[in-house]
Amino acid sequence: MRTRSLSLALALTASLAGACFAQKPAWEPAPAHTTIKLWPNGAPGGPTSPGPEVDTTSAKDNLIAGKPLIRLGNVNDPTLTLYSPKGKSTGAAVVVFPGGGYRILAIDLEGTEVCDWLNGAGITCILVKYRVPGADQKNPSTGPYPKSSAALQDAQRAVGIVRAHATEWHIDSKRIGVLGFSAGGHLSAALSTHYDKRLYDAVDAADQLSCRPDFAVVVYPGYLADAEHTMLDDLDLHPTEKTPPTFIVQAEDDPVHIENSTTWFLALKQAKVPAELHIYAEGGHGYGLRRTALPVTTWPQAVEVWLRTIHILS
Amino acid sequence: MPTRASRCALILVLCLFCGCHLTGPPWSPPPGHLTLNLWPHRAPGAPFIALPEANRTTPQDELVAGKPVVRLHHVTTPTLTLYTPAANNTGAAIVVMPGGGYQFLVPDLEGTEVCDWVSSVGINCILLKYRVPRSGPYPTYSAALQDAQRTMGIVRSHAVEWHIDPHRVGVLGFSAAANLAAALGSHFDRRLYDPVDAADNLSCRPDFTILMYPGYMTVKDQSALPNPDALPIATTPPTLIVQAEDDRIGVENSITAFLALKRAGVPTELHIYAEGGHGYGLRPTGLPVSTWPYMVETWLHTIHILQ
Repeated sequence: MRTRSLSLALALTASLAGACFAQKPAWEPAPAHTTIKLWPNGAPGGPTSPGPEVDTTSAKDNLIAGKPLIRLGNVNDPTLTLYSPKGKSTGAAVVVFPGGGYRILAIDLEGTEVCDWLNGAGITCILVKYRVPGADQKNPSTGPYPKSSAALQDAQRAVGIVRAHATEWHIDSKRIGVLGFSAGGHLSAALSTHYDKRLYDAVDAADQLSCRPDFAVVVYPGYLADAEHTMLDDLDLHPTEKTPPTFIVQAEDDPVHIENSTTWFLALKQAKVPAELHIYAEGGHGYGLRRTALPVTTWPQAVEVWLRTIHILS
Repeated sequence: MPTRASRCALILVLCLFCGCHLTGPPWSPPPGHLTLNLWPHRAPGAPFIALPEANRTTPQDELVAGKPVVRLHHVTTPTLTLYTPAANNTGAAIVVMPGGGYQFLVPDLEGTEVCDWVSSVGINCILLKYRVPRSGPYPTYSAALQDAQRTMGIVRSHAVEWHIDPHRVGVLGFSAAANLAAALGSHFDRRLYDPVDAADNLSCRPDFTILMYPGYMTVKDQSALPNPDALPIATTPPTLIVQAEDDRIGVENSITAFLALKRAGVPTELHIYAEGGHGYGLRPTGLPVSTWPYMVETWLHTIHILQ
């Protein structure tokens, strides 16, 4: 009896603590950055999770380069956040999609930290918090396109909004690229092949502008190809010659198998898309751009060099 | 005793007969470096061609980074040339094999210039002048692979004398010679010739392999299938591959080779640059691909050949 009341009390305390905690968002961008809700009247297709947003990282989760990371789940209300360079701006912009298996978003490791790097290189960064259900949720309305359209709708909408604000945000609307990690790498590839038609009813004038990225950076991608089925006919996404120039980076020992990168590269090459591919011997998966002794963590410098190759930077 | 005039006449007749153009003196390794004949008596197999070595580059030939390259034909007496680091010898060594489609060799662009870089970073460089033409790919022809196997044994047999660690001897090949390097990486168990001396009792397995803009790595007209004659095995050494997407000989060579290595469980790194073409050696062209030597140095640390 006593044990039972104790556990009840504990449960009550936990739920109270949870309720108090819920008043503070699980993640929010640093102040002084413009944040825009992608869908002023609610996202198309209704809620993807019960909400509210939570950071599902626990103390026993692995560290990256000695530091923890946020795993943001239950994202129903997608946003974009603008990070403008503090110093000289090149006019180029990158829309960043964090990874997390279309379940959660690694929004610091593969989001804010990426924007910090891009800003330092004079590039405007737009961090997209796209819809994901949460680590334990099995929700058929989320996942990789074409299984689900939610994340790709968010990506299409975000690029249109960025172009609509190009003048205001001092961005060259012809030099707006995308950069995504893991599931977000897949999302970058999906947007690179599905920009002709919006996957939702137009909301405002932003949806009249092109949502084709001018370049795409795909970092340790998933969902592009099976390890065993690497024929181009097996792919869900099919590049054309209008697919933007693409940069791919992955490690050979990535548990999310390297065939994602090699197959996507060959598909791009066959479609005559200028593409660059860097596969490092070691690195695993989910390292973001936290610098370690592994050479793969120098990939941001390789991206900067490539942005000159394709004349996005001069 | 033929007179000088009659010898000249003979060469002229041979040239007219073969339709060749002797446009320059035969190439020889720069002075101040030890050069050894690979085969003290005679190379195994019958010589395919009895013409003298000749640089057949003409003023009409394409320049690389604004400079001409040597195209050395008719190599019947293969050699190795040793480049010792002037300072800070790391003990590592790289056997460099120039490309040329197994028809000729590019011994400056893809040879001496490579050894200048390799030896400048404290690595011993051994430039291999292997036999051409019709010396590969293996097994259609075996001469180039025989030369490569023999060279690895000779280098290891001189390890103490040359201040080389016999467990850190790698190979770097360009274009056709990348195929040669890959073939050596899967055919090192058995010499393809009768042993000449004690050098042939030492392992000819490279400790690492660098494939620069490789050719002959896929089945002809089936670019997704790896060349079965250079198929990696579990003991194939760690490999680095570099190519440009716009390489006219097909970047599928690199992708297919990479996947075959990965499936064999070989630690492999692959860098494909958007632009670069073919046959650029390491002359700085302004294109990012020409920074590949730095990638090699970094990777040699990754695989613990350099500390």
